Amino acid sequence: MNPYLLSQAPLILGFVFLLAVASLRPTGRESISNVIAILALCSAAIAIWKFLPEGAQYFGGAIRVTTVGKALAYLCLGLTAAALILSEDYLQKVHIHGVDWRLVVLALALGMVNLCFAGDLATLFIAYELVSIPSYVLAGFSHKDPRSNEAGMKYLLLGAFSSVLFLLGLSFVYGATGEIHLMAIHDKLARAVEAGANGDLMLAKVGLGFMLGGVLFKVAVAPLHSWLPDVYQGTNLASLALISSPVKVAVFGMLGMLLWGAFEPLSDLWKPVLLAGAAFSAVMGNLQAIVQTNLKRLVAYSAVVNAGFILLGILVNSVPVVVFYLASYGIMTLGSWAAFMAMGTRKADVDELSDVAGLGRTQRWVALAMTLILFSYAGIPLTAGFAAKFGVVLEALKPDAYLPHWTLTVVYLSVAAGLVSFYFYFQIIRAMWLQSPNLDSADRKGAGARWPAVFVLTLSVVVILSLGMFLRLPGM
Amino acid sequence: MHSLAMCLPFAILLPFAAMILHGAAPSRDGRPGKDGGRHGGDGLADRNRAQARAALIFQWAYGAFLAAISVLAMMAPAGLRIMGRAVALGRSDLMVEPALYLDARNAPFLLLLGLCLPLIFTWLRDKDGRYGPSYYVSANLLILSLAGVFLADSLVLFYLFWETALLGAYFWIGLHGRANIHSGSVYSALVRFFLFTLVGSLPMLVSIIALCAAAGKDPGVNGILSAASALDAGQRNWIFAGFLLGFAVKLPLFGFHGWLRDTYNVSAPACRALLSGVMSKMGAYGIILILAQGFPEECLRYAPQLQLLCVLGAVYGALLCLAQERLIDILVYSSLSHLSLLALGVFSAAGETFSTGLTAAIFQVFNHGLIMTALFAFDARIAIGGESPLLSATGGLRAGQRRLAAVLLTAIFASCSLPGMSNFAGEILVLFSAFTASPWLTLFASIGALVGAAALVRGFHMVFLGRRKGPEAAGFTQAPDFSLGETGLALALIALWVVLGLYPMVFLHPVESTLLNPAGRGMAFLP
Repeated sequence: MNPYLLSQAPLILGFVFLLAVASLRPTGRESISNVIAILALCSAAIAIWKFLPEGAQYFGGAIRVTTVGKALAYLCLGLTAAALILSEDYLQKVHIHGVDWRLVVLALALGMVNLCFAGDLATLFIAYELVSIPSYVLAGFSHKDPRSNEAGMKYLLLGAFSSVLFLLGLSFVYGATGEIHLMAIHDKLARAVEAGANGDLMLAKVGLGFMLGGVLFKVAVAPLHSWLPDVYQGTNLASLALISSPVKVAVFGMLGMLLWGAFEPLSDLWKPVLLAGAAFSAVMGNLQAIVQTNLKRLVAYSAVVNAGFILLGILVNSVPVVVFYLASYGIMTLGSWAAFMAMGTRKADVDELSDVAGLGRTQRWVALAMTLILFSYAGIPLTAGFAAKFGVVLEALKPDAYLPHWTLTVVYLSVAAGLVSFYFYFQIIRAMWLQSPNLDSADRKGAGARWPAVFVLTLSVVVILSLGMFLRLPGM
Repeated sequence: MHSLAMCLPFAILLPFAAMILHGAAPSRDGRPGKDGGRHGGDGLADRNRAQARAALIFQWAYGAFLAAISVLAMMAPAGLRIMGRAVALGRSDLMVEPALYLDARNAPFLLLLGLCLPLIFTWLRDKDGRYGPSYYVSANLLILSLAGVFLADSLVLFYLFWETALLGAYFWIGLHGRANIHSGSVYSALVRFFLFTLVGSLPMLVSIIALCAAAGKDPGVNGILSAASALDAGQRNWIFAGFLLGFAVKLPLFGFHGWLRDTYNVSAPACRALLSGVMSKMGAYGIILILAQGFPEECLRYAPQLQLLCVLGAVYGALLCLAQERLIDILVYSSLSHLSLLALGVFSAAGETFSTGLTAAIFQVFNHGLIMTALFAFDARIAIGGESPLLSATGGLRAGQRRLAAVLLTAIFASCSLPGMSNFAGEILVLFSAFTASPWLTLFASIGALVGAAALVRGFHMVFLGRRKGPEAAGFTQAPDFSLGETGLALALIALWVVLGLYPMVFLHPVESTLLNPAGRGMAFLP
């Protein structure tokens, strides 16, 4: 059997199995579906490790296995599995039928894995859509909640727009080069650049521009980020743990692999675009976050800020830096949702800053863990976030780095704007530690008892600290 | 000396352990202001008093440990140094060697910390059981960061402790600070302090990363000179500017002092004493050991501007002292004035008097730290609750606090550089160094010192002497006088000032010879 199919089999089989469970025992115990889904993810990761050697190509080059792709695939699967653990008892609270939700998650996982291994334009687009469509469904899953409907609809409309742009770009590139394989596209573009054939390159450049527009929209790089806070605010925390963490990692990873790979010859075009995106993200993300009082919106703006740093990482052409950044970012984001889940009362989630007031006294461990995650976001040493930002800046400041003219200015700008991010991250810390609780303690009783959230939170803090304290990523 | 170097990590690990133990203590916080310790009844206050006792014992032991290793390191010809295994920071190709060092250049800083801690936790011991565990957790976080900043040889470690010091101070002030009518809310003062410090520390971080990128590894505090010499002058300028900004805010230099008054005002008394006594010395450490040693060319190039800034700070701080209404604010601004003088010593250190200015600055770090710790602690002991007295509404307090008045007056004299006390020796050396750079600036700086001294003495006069007024009228209750033990401690400190004032060479000689020759070769000053 084809090894690639073998590596995808657990996800597909898990999907089929869940479908059977959903139709045969629609009211059965939910945790069975969770166990099945997590097992499917884990065995997919093992299968990828066992069966897919680096450098292998399948289906005539439609699938190409690379070191980076494998690292990203593990990362996405791991983050998805953690998000599934989180969902264990949370879904009941928001009245979501768990089996259906997990079906969508497995489809999403399939999409993410394929996005990491895509070797030609067709696979790339199919995987991109297989990531996008489940994301829209996840955002709008609580269909009785008007805000969730708003989030789902907004995400769907704008996401469809970005997908169309992406597709348009792909077709232009195909038209310009006549090639569908990414490696072949790279070779053609490189030859054209060398020969100075500007006529041929024009179409490819336009195509790349459209693709960049679509992807940057999708990952919410400023100034294309205005939909993100609304979507975050409306989405339930379990779905958010997926669309803000593994999905972001997969799409950013794809962007990096595309730009370093197929479109490397056109770096004169995409580097300035990324540079502008990074500058806008640093400024707008930070400044807009100042006035937010809603926790999810705060995290959304911090996602914009981080997106800027990831673009800088892609810009400085350093694979390990970007993978490390994506890993730490994914884990930080997941950890913060886990913390919010653990902080919620039995009926409602935490929503506003005032809801977390005084948590340092009522839920000490959760507040402490959230504080460490915020330290990591802000970039305080010993945390993964610091090591990640340090790596990006270090790479940009290397004397022999060949970078566009304004890069250093943008790096300084990002760090300077980081001052503002300290302010708003510390708003949450202030609320948790320096303010008095305003919820009745009776209301808080039992809130800390949700083991999945506390477990994932603890796990992410452990990972953040160990990544921050000088551990290397496997395979890097 | 190898075995002694093994002690260095404990300077950081001991407060860390204390922090964990305090945090694990089964007691809920009674925060001042809201419930004033009444909240949980006597049981809570008793538990808090037990914490205070434990903290007192620990800080004495830890202070003695720091003092011992600092003195030994000052006597050791090549200093102490310990290096951990090199590790990769996050990704593969930047290796960080976690190294700690202690020689006569940074030992005075650590010695200062070691002496200040027992003083602070004795004089400002929480006898009412007002502060819960979080007080000691944040205090120990600040303490371990201070020790770390002074000891760290690798720049990444240095930055780590620099930031955790900010976090410690943030939580200490945020959790246990108190608003008063002179400083607005705790949080607004805190945010200003926090943002001001970050405005300095983020550019410093970029400078550190730039040095690491240039050297291909973490060059360490002692390797900055060689790492920077590989860069061209333009880049070096930027790196210098990043460091300078970080240190200028922390010290603070004139123009970067906007956070100073309100932060000190809202802090708990012990926190205030530690901030002024030791934390401001992080900035001094930076300008002496990183700027002056790592960027001598840039220091020389910008010396006129920097000297001007220092003299402005010295004069401006002294003038502000005259306009203050409360004793604490006089102390705050006289501290600004003195720190500017200290920085003047550093920035005028060039040519033949290179080592004079730096040695004097290090000596002043030690003197100023001890004096400010004592002054802030004594000021907080005047009233119950630590409120600082209004000059216009109080008078004649000496009748109720004879011992306190005596030691406070002596500390004020020490701060005014009375000949025979250590501050005099240090200040004379600073002015001597400055004189070779510019007689005019020196003249203004001396006038500043004079005015500041006058303001301090005037403040003491108005509060303690004259006809008895208030304290009830001023809205506070006078605290009981110092006990015999507390007075004894103050007398011991005064004795130290006099000894160092009469024979400063015992301090200056090791510092100067290490500065002239960091490797410590051919140095034999000890009999």
